[in-house]
Amino acid sequence: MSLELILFLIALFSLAAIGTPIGYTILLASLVYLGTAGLDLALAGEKILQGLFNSFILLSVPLFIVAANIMNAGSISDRLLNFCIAVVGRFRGGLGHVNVLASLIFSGMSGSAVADAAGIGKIIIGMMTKDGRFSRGYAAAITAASATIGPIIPPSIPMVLYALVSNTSIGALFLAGIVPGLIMGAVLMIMNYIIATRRGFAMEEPVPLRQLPKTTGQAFPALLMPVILLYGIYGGITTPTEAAAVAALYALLLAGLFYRALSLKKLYSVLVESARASAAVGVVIGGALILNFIVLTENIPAIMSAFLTDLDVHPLVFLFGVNILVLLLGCVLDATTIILVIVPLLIPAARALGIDLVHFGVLVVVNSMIGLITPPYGILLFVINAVTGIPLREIIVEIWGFLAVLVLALIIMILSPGLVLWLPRLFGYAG
Amino acid sequence: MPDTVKALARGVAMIAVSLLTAVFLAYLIQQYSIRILDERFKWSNEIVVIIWVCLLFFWGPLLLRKWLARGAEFIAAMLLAAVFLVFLLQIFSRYVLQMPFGWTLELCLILWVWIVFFGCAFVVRQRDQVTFDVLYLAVPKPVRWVFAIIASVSIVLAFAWAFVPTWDYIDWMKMRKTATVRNPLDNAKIPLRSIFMVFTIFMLAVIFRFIHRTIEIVRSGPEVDLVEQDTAEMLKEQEAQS
Repeated sequence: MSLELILFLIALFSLAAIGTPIGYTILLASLVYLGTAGLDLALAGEKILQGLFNSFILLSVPLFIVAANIMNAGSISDRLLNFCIAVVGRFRGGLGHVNVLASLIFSGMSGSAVADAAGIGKIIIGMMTKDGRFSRGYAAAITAASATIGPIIPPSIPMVLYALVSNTSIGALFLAGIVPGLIMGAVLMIMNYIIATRRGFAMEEPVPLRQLPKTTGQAFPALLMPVILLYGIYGGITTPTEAAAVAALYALLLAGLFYRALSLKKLYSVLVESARASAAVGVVIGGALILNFIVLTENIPAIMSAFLTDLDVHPLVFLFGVNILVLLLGCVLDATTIILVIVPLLIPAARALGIDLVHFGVLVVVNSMIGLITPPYGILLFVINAVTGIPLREIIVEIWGFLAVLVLALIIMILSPGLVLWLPRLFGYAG
Repeated sequence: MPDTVKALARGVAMIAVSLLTAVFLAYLIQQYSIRILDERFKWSNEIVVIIWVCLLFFWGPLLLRKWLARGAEFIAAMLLAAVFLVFLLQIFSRYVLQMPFGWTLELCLILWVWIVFFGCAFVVRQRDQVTFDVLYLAVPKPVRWVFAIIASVSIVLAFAWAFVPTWDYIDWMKMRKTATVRNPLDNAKIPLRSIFMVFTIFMLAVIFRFIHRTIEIVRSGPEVDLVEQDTAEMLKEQEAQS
């Protein structure tokens, strides 16, 4: 390890630790690296500018952010909720199941866990706690847990970021997320059923079956979104980036014209908020591009693979090690930082061990999403606490059970790459 | 109504005054480069734009409060809307007209670079930044105060350190031009320098902003926590919305 790399790491971790914005921290640390290595300081700016200017994939990030924000502002949630209540409300633990199902569907449109928890999650918590049918903590906990599915089912911004740092196909990653997303939904529903039976939670008044076609009809256009997206990408009709634009357009038409739930004023604030979020993510992505440059200059991939060959570690041992690491990091770092800053250091090793990078990507994304609900620093817990006012303590008491089953689902995914890669392979992914 | 007119007049005055100041400063820089450095900065147009944008959106909001901050938000929102529309145009040209325009993709990339750096310079607030605040929130206030000062001073120093080399690189990028996008005024291809100058705007704005923030932190003393203030402000705004 060279002296400049050590100084770089010291600068990176100490500045980040005292609360310097991550994007600027990476820029600062890379300047330290360039300065001590006697390289041109302008390389930092050059890597960021050229990287952002030449990467078509990245254009999908602002577009997916717009699509997510439109979906969230367009209050299509009512229709979706009615549909979910009609389908699963009749079972034991009714609204808990509704919560999970709504997240599954909604995530197919927004691709953002925070948007899911703050938008539709808030409404369901209101319904669940009305008349004291569910305790506040339980309602908040299951909402947080189910919101983690958001970025697993496509479209998914974290997966776009992972595709950027790992050079894997976005299409394959999106497809690979579907089965794991469904598994996560299933384990959460089972957990909800068990707890509901034990504590005797109330059931919903069953919605008569003959009303089902009507509620389905109302929710149908929203349900079509993921289908259109995936068909666009896999039918060879659009590139993933264009699919993001189509998704945003579809969201706009749906919310604006079909459901008439989006005024011009709201649309404007959606654009401002999306621009703000895109810029904040953009500068971290820029940082990741310099980081990538340093990783390559320092020849870390070769060192990693030589090290692992010497160590003779089994791929499964490596996968478990990485997942424990990411799970721990997830308690203190957010998903964007993990994927853009930590994962590039692990990818060369995964490649050297012959681990499929799409499988690896799904594991990392699922894992960093679980991190979002892991106390003490689960961002989703904070978001729900901020939008509903339910005390963190009550949420944390109830979250452990859901956390445990999600980790169980993660272990299943680690052990069975075939399950994760089944859909991508069906569509011709060679891996 | 008179209030709107007054605010509008102030906005126009601000735009004009800052433009004049920018031209004047650019003139000074050019004279300095010719007479003292004995080499001419040949990108005076870009220098005017850089100084103008910085004056308008950094000093403007300090003088006029919210008005120009709203202006920056408006520009960022329009840039994003433009990305969206140009992308739709591209899809339309490829699948409906069966002959892609070619320039659409590059234009989107130009707009994306501008969204990121213009956005980070003037639209992204401190609380929107991706930060790791576990340790920060765990330490007592005086330590937080020291942390915040170290963080902003190091940003100022590092950006100032890298400014001149980065400026040289961006100036050099006049050699390279866009592949397909043309300037609608003279139909010439645009040098990348004109596109990448947003990065110098970003660097200047970040330097100014963190100098300003350092002064604010030092002045308010260890008892006031700016991060907590930011959070309180955000909660208030959210309540006002709902």
